Amino acid sequence: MKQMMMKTLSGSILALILLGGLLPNGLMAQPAYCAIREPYAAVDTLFPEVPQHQFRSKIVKYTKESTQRLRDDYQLRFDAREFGFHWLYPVQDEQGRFVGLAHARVEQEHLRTTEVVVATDASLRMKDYFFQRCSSPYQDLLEKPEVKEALKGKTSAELAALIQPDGLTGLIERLRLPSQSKPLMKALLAASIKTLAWVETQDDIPFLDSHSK
Amino acid sequence: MPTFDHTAGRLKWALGFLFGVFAMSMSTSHAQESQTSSILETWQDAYQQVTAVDASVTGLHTRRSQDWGGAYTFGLDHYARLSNDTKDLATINLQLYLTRFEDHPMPPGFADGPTDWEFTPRINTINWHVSGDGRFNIKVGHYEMPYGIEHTINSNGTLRQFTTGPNLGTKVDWGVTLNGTLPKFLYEVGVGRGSGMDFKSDGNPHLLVGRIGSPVNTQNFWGTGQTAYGLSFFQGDLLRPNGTHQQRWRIGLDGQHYLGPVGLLGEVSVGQTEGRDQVNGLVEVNLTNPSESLLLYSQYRWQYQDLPSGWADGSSLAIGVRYAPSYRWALSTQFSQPLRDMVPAPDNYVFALQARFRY
Repeated sequence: MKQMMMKTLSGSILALILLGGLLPNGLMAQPAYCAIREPYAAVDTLFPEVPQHQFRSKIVKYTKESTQRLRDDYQLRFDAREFGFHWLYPVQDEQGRFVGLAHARVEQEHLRTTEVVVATDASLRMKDYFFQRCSSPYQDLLEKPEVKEALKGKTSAELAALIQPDGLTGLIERLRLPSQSKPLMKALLAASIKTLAWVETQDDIPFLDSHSK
Repeated sequence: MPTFDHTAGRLKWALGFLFGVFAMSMSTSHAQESQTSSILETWQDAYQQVTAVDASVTGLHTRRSQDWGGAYTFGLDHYARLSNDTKDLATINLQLYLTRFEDHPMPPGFADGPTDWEFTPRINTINWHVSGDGRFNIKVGHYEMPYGIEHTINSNGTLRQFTTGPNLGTKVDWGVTLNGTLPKFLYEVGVGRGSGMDFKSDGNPHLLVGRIGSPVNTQNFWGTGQTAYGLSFFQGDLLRPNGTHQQRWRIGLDGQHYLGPVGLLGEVSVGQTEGRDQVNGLVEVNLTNPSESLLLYSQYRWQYQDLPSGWADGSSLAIGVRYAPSYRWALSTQFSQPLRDMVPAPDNYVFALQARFRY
């Protein structure tokens, strides 16, 4: 029996190697670490002022190399599972104009990971966000309009300043949030920076023409 | 081996089908390679896909077995979006696997015995975004039963399982579903051939299944956050692997809630199997580390059934660990032990180990 198992195992490994060799680079991939669970509902929530919007999802790939700038410039940490394919949701209005995009990211907070859906405006600045999976008791606080307003319109560089220890403490105090909400705020900022800084480097986002960029 | 000979035709067909998928994917990739980086051509990239080779080795040991047995699985996990210039038109899932059962102590019903080759199509569907806003879609193919808590959690090929398979008599079926997400809930209602893994029509089997629940999705192994509920139903005249038919109906209620690192999941079903009443359920408590690469879980299952000899009950306990620090590999182990047998049976346990690789 063990002989048979070994034979089958070696056959499986051989087949795996052959398939890996046969398939072209870029085809074989891992699933996205995170995606927007309900993209239609998410886009509705994040772009309420554009009732007749449409979106076309797009796969983008995060690699160690392509995220080097984010890690160098912003000192952001990436989990190994973040490298791979992710979904972007560029949105256009009924006239076909790019109005922004939505993107989901997973970030570790205090006790477990949280999933944040971040939306940009047409200029690729922070527009809105919500937590699509979060077990933190501070989720509701961080989704309050005054908190969203404080982050709205920020660029990746401006958000990067807020994620630094002094910036984070100042932001929490200014918004009168409990200090225990810091890990979740940090996760929110990290997700937002990764989204904004990443799309700033992309030149093939559907609906985003050079004028709007 | 006799079992191999018996399934050789099916295996040949399966390999042909796999080759077809490879060819399709390769042609797509060639198209992608020839694209320039212009926005216009990116728009025309109508079929965006992610494909992974998924291989796993599962070893099982029971008190009754003399030696280790188990299964090797090897297959493709393909996920794609079909889009036009302005919107997504359809979502495609292909999960095509070959499974080698090797002295498996508890082979599934679709296997021809403890040692067997099987082509195991898991979820293979095209979901057409009919309304264009996610509220109404039509899914066609080999779909997972929209029933119970398992519908919200991707447990395909993992040791951690819930009750859908044993409760309904099948976990997948060939057919059509109507599905969508509304602001406050999601729904999926389907009709199926009633033959489970294989498409067979002897005696005209059929099933009707559906679930309405909190708006969550199954793209993440870890389920959803906050509290989620679901109400499910099932009615079926199922074609069993031995050629007989079995009538079942169920109504189920499920829920899940997460408190920091702790997850609480539960499900209860009432219904009848061949006209005899039964109630069953499952409770899971799980715990994860902050990065969620490590999951510990404990599941308690129980069942009451109106047997010819009167009402009887049975229960079991499972404890498992899953370690998945990378998308490329995961290690899992699970120990399950009956606590109370519905009908007298020798004490038994199942100890399982699994290594899974994605490339």
